[in-house]
Amino acid sequence: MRKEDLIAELEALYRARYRQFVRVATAIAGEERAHDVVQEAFARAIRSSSSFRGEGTVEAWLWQVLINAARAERSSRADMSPLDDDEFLVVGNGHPTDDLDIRAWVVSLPERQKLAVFLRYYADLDYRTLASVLGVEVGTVSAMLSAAHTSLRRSLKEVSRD
Amino acid sequence: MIDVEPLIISGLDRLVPLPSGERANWQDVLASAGVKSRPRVTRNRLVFVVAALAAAGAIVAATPVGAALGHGFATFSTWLNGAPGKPSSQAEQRAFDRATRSWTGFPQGTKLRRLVQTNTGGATFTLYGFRGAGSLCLRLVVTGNVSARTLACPPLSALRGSQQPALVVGADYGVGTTRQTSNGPFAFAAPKFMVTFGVVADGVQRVELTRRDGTTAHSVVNGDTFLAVDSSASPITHAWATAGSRRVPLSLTVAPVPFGFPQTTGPQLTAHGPATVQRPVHGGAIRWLARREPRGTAVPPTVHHIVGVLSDVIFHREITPDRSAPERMVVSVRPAGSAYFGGRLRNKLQVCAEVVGGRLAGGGGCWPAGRLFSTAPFSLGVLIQPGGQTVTIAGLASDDVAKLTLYLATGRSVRVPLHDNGYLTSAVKADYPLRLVAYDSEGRVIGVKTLQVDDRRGPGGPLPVANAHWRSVVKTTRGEAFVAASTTGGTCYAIRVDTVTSGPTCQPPPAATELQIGYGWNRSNAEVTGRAGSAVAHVLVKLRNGRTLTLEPIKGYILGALPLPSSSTPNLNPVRSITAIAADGRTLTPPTVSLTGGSGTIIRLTRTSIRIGSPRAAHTCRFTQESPSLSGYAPGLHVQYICRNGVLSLIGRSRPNKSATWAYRTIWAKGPITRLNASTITVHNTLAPAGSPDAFTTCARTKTSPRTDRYHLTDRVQVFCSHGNLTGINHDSP
Repeated sequence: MRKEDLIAELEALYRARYRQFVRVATAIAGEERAHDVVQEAFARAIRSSSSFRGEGTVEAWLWQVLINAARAERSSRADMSPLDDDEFLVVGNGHPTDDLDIRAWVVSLPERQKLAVFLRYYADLDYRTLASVLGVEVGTVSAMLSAAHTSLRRSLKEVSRD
Repeated sequence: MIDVEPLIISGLDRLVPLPSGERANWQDVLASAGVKSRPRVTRNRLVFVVAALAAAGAIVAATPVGAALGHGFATFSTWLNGAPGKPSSQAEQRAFDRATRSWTGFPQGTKLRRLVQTNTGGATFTLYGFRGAGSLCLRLVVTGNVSARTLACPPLSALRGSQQPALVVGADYGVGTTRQTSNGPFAFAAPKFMVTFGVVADGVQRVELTRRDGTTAHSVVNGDTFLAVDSSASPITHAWATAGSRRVPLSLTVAPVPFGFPQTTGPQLTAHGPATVQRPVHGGAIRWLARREPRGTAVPPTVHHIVGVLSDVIFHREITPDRSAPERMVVSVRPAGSAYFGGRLRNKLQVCAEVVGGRLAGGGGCWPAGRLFSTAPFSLGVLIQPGGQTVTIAGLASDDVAKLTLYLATGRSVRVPLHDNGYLTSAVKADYPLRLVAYDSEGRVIGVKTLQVDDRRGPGGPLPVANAHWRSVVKTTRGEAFVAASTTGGTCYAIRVDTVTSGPTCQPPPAATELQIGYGWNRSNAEVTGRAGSAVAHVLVKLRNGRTLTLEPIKGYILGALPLPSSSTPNLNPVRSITAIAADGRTLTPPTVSLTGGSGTIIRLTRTSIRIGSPRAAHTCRFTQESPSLSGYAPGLHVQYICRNGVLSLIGRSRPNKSATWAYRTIWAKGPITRLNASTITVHNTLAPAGSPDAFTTCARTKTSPRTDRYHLTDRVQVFCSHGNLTGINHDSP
């Protein structure tokens, strides 16, 4: 793909899905840095356009760039992102709220499952694109999300038993 | 197996809501990547490009205009820097000069532009415009078989960096004589013409308006303006701007029911700016006002009639919050009289601030002197300009405030002019929710108030959705119950009996043994309407004349029209009591009320709940329509609070180990008793607007409360509550 065509495709992606990119970046790197992460990810994609080999879609490649940028941003800071902070594990009045349940669940997920959840529910990616972004088979994506669902279901049952 | 996906989706949505796209900037990306951006196309060139592409049958969406419409890079260059429309006639300009001559500080020689004109139904509708003192103003003049004149002035800042390709300045502005019409259970008088108007960005070709009945109204676009005149009784619910093949929804503030609380359709944004108070301040004051120093100027006699300067005014001055604007503010100290709590106010003075002169219709409000800064170091008044899309925000700030900043939902912020403790600015509803933030001299946040489109409510009160479709669920010979979707995913209902409609009410459904009852009466009937819990088989209504009538809920709704004997005294409440009866004849008692509360720091404040306490031991209460307004409250503030059945029912600012300064230290409510038990009394407060958070007042009964033996459910009473506790009660006999 010519560089001009790639930039045009990136621009279209940016204009169409900027808010979803920011949302995922927020989940990984925190709200304050999310916009900068997205800007940097697109700039990085343009700068390294030659590394796009056309083996998958531009969108899947871009998501990979963005996730790497967000992770790099997060690891450069001493504090953790909002969804990795464990302060929310404190429950109010003896009863965890729904927010607390979901936060606790997200925190408990292995890193790749967590990414799959973010990309599935914050970016609305289909299983095929998700597989391409994560570099796994479609069946693996399905298994990862299923495992994530099971863990949430189990935590809900535990709460109700209490 | 539990389907957890809905829980995941809603939970993740709350954790990281979909952000707004206002910071999107592709040019920055290109600059960061070291790619030279394409040159910007000027307006004249743009017109040519669009025409050329259209002629070639190309897709206009590929042009910068199409992209701009889609992603919020619209420009209003003509409105910001050029001359929209055409010059007005000499006579029109002279009349304009005469009208604005008295506007102190308004730039003389401001040119009036004629923007667009249309004729319909024997009337001529002309839109004029001018730019000055930081605003663009649209003046609608209607002549012919009906006549009207109105002026609306949004700030020019609303157009700079606007995300939307058009700004609705006035929506459904009514002109002409009225006729009766209805929307579900609501009958109202509609104007002959409804006029919607606004300004458009460069390149916009069409503005479409959709009515509630699904039909579309097209507008005339000319002079960088649009104007739609509609004779349909169905109100506008959505607006779109179109350029080429791109069609973009516009922000529009409309009321879901006639005369109801407004809501915004179109893009939904979130509040920006600091939400947490860094340094709480208490007991703010305006020293010059307290000392009666002659700041500003004397109040000119020409505005005495506007601000109602009476002989009993103790002190008043006219100040200029914004030296570059023609508006002034009259600040006065007056006796409170019986304006608050039946005259039982400890400090019997009130402070009033009224905006006068210039472009605005004027208006203001008064605050009890001791409560001017009870929730924040500034008082807040919001005046809605004609057309309902622009607001003037004005008020008084305490001496603690060094700077006020208004944060718009678009991410931009505006420094609010502040002088002699008065402040004045304006904003558009498209930029809501707004956040007004006060800073001290060291730049610390000392006060935050967030304004929602519906700024008369607490953050969690459900409402009918903006384009509510009222569906009939029960119909009898005398009445009909309607339901519509609520903003929180629940249901609102309204009940019409004969010609009287009660509601809308969006309370959660009643508990199994509970009644949600309201009633009214006239010479011949008492209308008893509401909902009954699932265990309620009959509702027994005892009248004062000794008769007992039985109502049966239909699908949970109660639609009672009880005939009253002709001898009934019109003003006397005819209902003695209303009791819920189970199918086996048992009298049902309402569920026990649990009151919880305490003091602590606000940890989190969302649209649906508040979390108070310390990070390790906190308490979360939900909001409903019955919750007090939380305007002025923010994370970091120390408060005392009471929650009733897990719902916030009372809150006041406090200091650690000190009693609260309740926003409403003494509550005065007047109306029928809707609940009376050993621990609380609830009154349907007729002093509060229907559906407002204050519509039901609940007070705790304590050892020091007066006896309530001679009061019964549905008795009309006046109650006084201090700190949430019942301190006074008496029968209210009109």
